[in-house]
Amino acid sequence: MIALLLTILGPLAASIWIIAIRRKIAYVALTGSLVSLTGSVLLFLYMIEGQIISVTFAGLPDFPFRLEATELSVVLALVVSIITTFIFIYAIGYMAEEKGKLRFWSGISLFLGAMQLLVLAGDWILFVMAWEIMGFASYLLIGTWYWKKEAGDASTKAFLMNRVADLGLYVGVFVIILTSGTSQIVAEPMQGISMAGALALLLAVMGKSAQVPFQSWLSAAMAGPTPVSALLHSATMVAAGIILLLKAFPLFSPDALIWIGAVGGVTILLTGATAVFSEDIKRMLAASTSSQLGFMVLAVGAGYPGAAIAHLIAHAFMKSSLFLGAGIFQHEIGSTKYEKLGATGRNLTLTFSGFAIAGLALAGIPPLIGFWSKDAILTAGLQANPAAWYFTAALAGAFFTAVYMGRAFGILWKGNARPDKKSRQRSLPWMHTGLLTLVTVAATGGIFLEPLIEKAGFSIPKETLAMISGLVVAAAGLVVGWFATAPAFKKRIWMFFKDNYPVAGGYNRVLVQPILVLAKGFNALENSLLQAVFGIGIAFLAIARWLAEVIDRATAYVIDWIGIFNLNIARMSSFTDDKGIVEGIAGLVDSVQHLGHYGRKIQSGLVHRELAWSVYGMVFAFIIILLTYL
Amino acid sequence: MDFSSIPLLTITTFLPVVGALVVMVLRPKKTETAYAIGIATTALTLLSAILIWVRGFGPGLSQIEEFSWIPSIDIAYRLGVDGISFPLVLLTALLFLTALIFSTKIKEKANIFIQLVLMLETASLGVFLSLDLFLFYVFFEITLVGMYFVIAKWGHEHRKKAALTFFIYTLVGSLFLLLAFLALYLFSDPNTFDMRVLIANPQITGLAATLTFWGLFIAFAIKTPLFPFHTWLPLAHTEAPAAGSAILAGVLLKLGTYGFIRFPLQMTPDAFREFAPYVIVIAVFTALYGAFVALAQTDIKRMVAYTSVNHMGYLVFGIAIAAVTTSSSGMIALDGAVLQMISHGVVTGVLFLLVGALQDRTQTRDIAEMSGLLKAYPILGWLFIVAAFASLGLPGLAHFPAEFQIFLGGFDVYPVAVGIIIIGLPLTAALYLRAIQKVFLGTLPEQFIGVPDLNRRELWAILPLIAGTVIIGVYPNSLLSLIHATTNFFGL
Repeated sequence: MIALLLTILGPLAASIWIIAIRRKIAYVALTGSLVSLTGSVLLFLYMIEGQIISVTFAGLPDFPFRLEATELSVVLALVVSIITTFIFIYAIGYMAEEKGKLRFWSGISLFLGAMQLLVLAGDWILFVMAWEIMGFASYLLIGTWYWKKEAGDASTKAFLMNRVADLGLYVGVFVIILTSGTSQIVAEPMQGISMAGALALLLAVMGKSAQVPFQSWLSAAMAGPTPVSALLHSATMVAAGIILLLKAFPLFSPDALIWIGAVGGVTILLTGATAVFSEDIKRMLAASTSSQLGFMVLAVGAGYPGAAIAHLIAHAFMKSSLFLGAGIFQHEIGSTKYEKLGATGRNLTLTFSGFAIAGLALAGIPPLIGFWSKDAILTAGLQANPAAWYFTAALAGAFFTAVYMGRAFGILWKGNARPDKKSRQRSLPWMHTGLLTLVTVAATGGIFLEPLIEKAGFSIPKETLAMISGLVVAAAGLVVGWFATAPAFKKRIWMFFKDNYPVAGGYNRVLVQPILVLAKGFNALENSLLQAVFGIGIAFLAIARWLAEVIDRATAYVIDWIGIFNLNIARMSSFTDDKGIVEGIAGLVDSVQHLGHYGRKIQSGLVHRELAWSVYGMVFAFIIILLTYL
Repeated sequence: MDFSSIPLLTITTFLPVVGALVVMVLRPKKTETAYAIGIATTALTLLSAILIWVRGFGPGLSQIEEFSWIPSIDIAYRLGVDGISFPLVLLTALLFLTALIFSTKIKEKANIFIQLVLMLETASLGVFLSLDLFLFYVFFEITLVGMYFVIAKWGHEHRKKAALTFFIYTLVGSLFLLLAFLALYLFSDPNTFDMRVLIANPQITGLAATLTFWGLFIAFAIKTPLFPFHTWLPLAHTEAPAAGSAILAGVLLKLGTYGFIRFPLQMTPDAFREFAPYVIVIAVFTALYGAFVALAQTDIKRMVAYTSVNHMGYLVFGIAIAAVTTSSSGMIALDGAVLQMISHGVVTGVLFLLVGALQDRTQTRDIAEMSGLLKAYPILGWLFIVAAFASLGLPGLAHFPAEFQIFLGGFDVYPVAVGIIIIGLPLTAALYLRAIQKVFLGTLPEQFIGVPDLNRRELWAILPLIAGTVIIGVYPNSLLSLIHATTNFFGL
């Protein structure tokens, strides 16, 4: 239980510590991730002994919160903490030269804690919480350099797109809880969920894992620091979507799987093409992430979650390595654009070697880790139904992968090195430590992959045909990419690919503008409603004034009349010459006129006073009624 | 004297008025002294409220304090507490304390201001603790008077208009409330104003029940407020002083939602069940309408005000779900609705205080005129971001457990309605992110450089509420266990 809590609370405590104490922040964050790593290693050891640890504690009434270290979640937690630790080591070097350290380190620690919570969540409500907190942390991290306009735009866009897709998670979780009567995540549920529920969950996955049509937030998220991208694109954030699919997999009906496979396949192809046509190394990597996650979604759709897990783990190491390499290139040149990066690899040979190994792994070259996982997915595609669709999509995706990696190698290597061979970066040791460790895993981890997946309780499918075809397309793609380095794709159709398919103006036109128009419309309605209410108020005021005046006039008239009448009497009485009567009558006139003034006071003034009077009147009348009634 | 026989509810309710009397009698020359008395009083009130909790109460109405008042028509001074009203008492005590701390910068006629605020606190606590229709009505009306003067005297530029609109509008609601109360009284047998009797045995039926239900509905729909009765709200919230807005949104709106539970749900349950579909339509529309209109605002305070309309839509939706079904889903939704009252009180309270602090520094509320302020006021900015994310329903902060339960309970009965109403979630996210982006992110213009960040007074007011937000978010069971015991007891 302590191991479970260490894994989650270590980074969270570090995050709070960083905000509160503000000293040695990078090392505090690193300590937090090491604590998390220790916790997950302990969990792993317990798991090997066959112990499944779970904790239940107070949550919502009838729905307690629950953490559970299942085989799958322990393996994932271990991968998450290993990758994060080395990204943190890298980031110590990277952030040394950047602004916004406090926000970065507290945000990234929160991010890690939320991811571990998500992995180890044993009930759906805690899962939703972790999912959203991670979204919040990514918002903070993408906006690390908040004074830059693109950082603010990107973080807002990332959170909003995710928030829209998260509605699917809410609905899906409602369906799960109401169908099963419990919020617990169970490995062998009694019954599956409805199609609507499955599709709702798929929507959430599409948002988080940047599947088409939600892929554009991921490339915009490049506005954050590179370690953030490395983390976002590998073992955390986007991986959460896949973890959702894995945890919910037992609940899906075969019909729902077809939809999942379709989404994965479409994403592999479209975003793979985007990566091929990218003119920016980080945008290429971002599009590639969507495409690689498409592989995992496809594998789940094909009914082979084991293949998805294998690729999730392999991709996490490969993609984080690629980003860390790209970050070093970026620091060297001050740009991520291909046109500026030409031949940078010759100046940074060590970095380039690491980048190349990770890239070759991603392309699926044996014996690197990516070969094993891609092979698993191709086989899954081959054994799925309809195999034609799954296998073709996966194979085309593998080809695209090799092309865009080959292209990146070509651009980074071809040309002449800059004369000043020495790198100006002072903190390279930190960065290289992080990069090379991850690359080592990406290079050699292939042999551990299958036992690990089996430990997690899943299996990896294998088939010779899949392996051979995968090798052929990988080799062909690398060759094509190596020679296709010229930025010749200026035609509109290629721009359309490159810019992530801005259908009808993209996110801004399709989502933002209509909502703002709707908001303006509602606001206009609101204003007219306000005017109408004031109109009614003013009308009442006018009626009240008019009434007051009418009553006033009538009173005056009556009083005058009485006065005149009295005067007449007085005149008459003057004959009698009886002073007493005259005085008496004059007194009466006075008092009546006085009454009139009094009445005027009551009836004049603001509306509220009149309403108040009506209330008092009603209360008074009510009391009289009651008293007579009793 | 035995702990259990101390009239803690009465003490809690009237402590603020005692404080007000002290200020009135002493007439302190220095405003500091006056505020010290006021803050001490509200702190004692909070302590007294906590003692109610320590003493413990059952799921039903308990800790009853009763004195005869007008026996011939069975009006009595009756106070009591349960899991619905107690969290609101706690919220009220906390919000008035922090609002008064925040207000210490108000120097103009401070003595009168403090007395009014304290009177308002007594009235609000009285509403939540009353178990007698007549007593409830009296307290309900006094809140109106207190708030009227706070807005009219210490508000911003259009304060007179705002105060008057607020007063008239809610007074109209009170008329309906009065009529409904009379009906409840006249149709009870034997005639009584005792709310416990009316709850235990709702006797009103047929047309009378229908009319009573709609009378209560209009009265509380104005107070809560629901579309189309919400039009007093934006003006009153925007024009009131920051602490006034916090109290208005945090506590006074809850008079309406609390009323929805206590009266239509408990006293005319059959009529409510019959008309719940209409209420649900209104609630769903209100939630989305509030979110859309908030999105179109350029005045940040007005924007926050409209988000209240959105949140109240969710809340009434939860109550209507509880009215419509007797299954456990109704209970889940009602748990959420009650928690939503507290969450909204804490979160919107702190948002108004932060917006007030922002306005004090920038002299504007126009979103377009501000930029990059995170650099100038990092503490204010980060607290605003936290509060804004709480308001948009981020898990780990106060609104999430409430809204999650409302939607979960609702989904069982009206999945389509939930499908529509949750569109409000990304909308509120959009409006807060837009405000954060424009006000706090980007480049900092020179005119804002050099103005200090939050001072100690503001932090003392704001941090307790932020802490409350986090506690409710991380450990919702702290309050939900109380609430759930009572909703369970309702036997819905």
